[in-house]
Amino acid sequence: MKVFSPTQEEKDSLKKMGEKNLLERYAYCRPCVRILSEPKTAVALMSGVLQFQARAIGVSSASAEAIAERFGSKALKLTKKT
Amino acid sequence: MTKKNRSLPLVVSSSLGGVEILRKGLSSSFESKVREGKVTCSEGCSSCCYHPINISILEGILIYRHLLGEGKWTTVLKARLKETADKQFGTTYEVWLLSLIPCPLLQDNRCLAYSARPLICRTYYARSDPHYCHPHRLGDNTNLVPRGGVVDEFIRKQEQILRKLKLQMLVMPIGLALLLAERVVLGTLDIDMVDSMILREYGDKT
Repeated sequence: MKVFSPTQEEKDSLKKMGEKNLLERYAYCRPCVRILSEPKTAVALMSGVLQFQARAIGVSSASAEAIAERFGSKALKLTKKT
Repeated sequence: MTKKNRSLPLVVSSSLGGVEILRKGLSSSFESKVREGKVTCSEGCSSCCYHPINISILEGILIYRHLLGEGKWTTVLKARLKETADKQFGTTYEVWLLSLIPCPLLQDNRCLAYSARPLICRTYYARSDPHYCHPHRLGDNTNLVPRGGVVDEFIRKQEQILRKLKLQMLVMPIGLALLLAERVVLGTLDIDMVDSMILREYGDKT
């Protein structure tokens, strides 16, 4: 288990993204930390969840795939910059 | 100095022989049934290599021996096994699937141990467009050949074999199974200690 405490800057950006229940500490299991620490697997996980959720609310498979791909490539570019 | 592979105790060797015969029998009868219908799988498609693959220590030893015999057991491969095992052990199937973590035996879109691959891989065949086997696209458009209890039967019979070795039917990510298999074959880990070793080394790391 690994516990993260977000910085003020991170808290602000989470708020900006619409997070209403901000926590002081976030706990993740170790395999998840490893997955999320690597841009490739982290972006794959997030775009995969996005695609599944989009389909679950009725978005067509093709559109859900396109949305997830757009998100994935943007997120990868961002991780390369940081 | 490299360690020599020791002869495994007779009870382990005969158990491995039993699992190998069982695996070959189940997969060949399954494959002959598969050939009766349309299958869309083709060489070079590796979507199912991103699906979770958990195997027993016995199947791990069979695959390890194959890799060793083929000269494919390298330090590079071992590092990859460790890296993926660390990500996969204790992860839920959903997270594993969606993170697109490739099987550590996948190299240049091919399986390093194809002829010795796990039964779970030998019984995965698609009838739908392989596009829908990709972990992110699994759903109503995915149509697979039903396994019809083949894997369950394999697990049940392995369970009986493992009980004789004082082991539970514990399945683990393929990377971890292969790393432990090496230790069992080299004699640095007794097979009846595998379960407790996993709990000790990995149980508190999740």
